[in-house]
Amino acid sequence: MDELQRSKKRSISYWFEDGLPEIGTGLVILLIGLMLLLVSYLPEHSGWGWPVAIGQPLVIISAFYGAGKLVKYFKERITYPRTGFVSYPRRQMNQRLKRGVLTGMIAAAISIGVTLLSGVLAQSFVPLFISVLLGLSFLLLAVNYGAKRFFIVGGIEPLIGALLCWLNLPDPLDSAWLFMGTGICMVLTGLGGLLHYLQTTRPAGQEELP
Amino acid sequence: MSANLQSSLDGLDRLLHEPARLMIVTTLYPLDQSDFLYLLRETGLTKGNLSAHLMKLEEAKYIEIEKTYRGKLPLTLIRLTQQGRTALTDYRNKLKEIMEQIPK
Repeated sequence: MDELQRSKKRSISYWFEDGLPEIGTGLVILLIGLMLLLVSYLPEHSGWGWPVAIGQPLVIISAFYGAGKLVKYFKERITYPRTGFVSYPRRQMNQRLKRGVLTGMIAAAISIGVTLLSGVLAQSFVPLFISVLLGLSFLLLAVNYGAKRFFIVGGIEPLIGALLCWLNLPDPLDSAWLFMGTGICMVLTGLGGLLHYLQTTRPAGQEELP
Repeated sequence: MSANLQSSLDGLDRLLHEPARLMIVTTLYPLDQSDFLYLLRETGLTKGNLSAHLMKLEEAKYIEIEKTYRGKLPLTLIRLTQQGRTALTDYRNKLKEIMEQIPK
């Protein structure tokens, strides 16, 4: 592999080294699962439909924003004093726009695929299908960014889907548990990573400061 | 040695040809900036050695160094300049050119 490519991969995988981003993202996914769980317990025609429909995206966006701030806060206190600070180049507006459009298109394609599939497949197979897609995404992240712990999440993901398929839960309870399972899995692997990071590193001494 | 190969070898950037400096620049390449500690850990150089190489790279305007504080601790931020990026790309291309000229 080109040394520059290796260096790029190494610098990106450094972001995941301490497990903090996984914990942050895992908590947000767990929150999404909890919201779906809440929705599944709301009685039909209870008048909560609109507030939930409007509130959910707002909560999710705020949660991602808050998790980002929290990860930054802990990185400044845990990671940077131990193994150093890096910042990544900010993508230009058109690059960010392209990535946003691409992400939106992939999400729409998956959503359409799931809708079409739910007409063909029994409802119980839908979480399995989604979990396989999620698992593949985690494996892709693991390979592309050298974040090895994502191999674990990617491997566990289809197992969660298979378990939910076997339990045959009604919609949206199956999605709720799929998200909660994914979130818990990410938080646990993140905590494992953080523990390992804390055990293998120490805050820099005076001799390492400029 | 062919004249072509000789001229390619002469065209190599001597400043980047030094392994430690090449490692520093390659580490900085995918980043916006990093601090001294990150470079120290990634390159495995000693503090004095790293400082000396950073000074040479700064003199050549390949990197920019900003000295600041995080709380009460000194913080040195290092960023690869556009000139440094171009120099590394040129160096890589030259090296590829040379490798292609060496008979197997």
